[in-house]
Amino acid sequence: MSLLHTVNKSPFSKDTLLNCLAICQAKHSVLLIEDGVYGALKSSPCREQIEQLSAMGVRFFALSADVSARGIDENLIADVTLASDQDFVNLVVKNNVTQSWY
Amino acid sequence: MKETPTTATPKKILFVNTKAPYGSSLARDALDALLAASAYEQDLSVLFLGEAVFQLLRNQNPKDIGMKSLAATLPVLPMYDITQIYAQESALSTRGLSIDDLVLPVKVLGADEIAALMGSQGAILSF
Repeated sequence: MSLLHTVNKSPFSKDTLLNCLAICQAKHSVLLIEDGVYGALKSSPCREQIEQLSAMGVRFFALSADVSARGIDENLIADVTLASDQDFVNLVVKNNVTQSWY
Repeated sequence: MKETPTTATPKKILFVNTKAPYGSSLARDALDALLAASAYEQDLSVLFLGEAVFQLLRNQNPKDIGMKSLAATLPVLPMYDITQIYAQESALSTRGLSIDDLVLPVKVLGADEIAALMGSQGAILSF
């Protein structure tokens, strides 16, 4: 069953992303949006989990507009792919359900 | 009506930022309040704590989320005579940031220095 998770809180101040990653499985996708994009930073407290889950087949995305807004384009974990607004729509359509973490 | 005398001792006011930019309007509200307060010739300082150090990052481009860049406005602070600009040392290091990543020169403070800064104020406004 494919599942899309969206996360909109920074892992530096909230455990929202950590809670999401704790239940993530292969074939799930995680889309970081709004302040959630700070989770994709190389200095992210969740970097290790993201890299492990990515190796297991979880796909990670960060919304491009939110990344550019915050000036962190150059400093992201390699396993996280930038997603356009159109990609966001495609992810929602392609997955069976969406779980919103906020 | 008599005019209020302007010779009173300036009040020490610290603006404390605690939130990342754009996720809420608080960062912008703090900056607007700070610039407004600068018209009253008080002794102003501003401190970036925790997530708020992200407000100071260079290369912010929030055009596509329909917001105005904070990084474009923050460098005007010295022109408004706001030169006491501080950032929390542990907040920067936790996030892998150095002062070279920031849009304006800040003084980096440890926990004891932050406590002393707060303790010396006449008022603290927290955003």
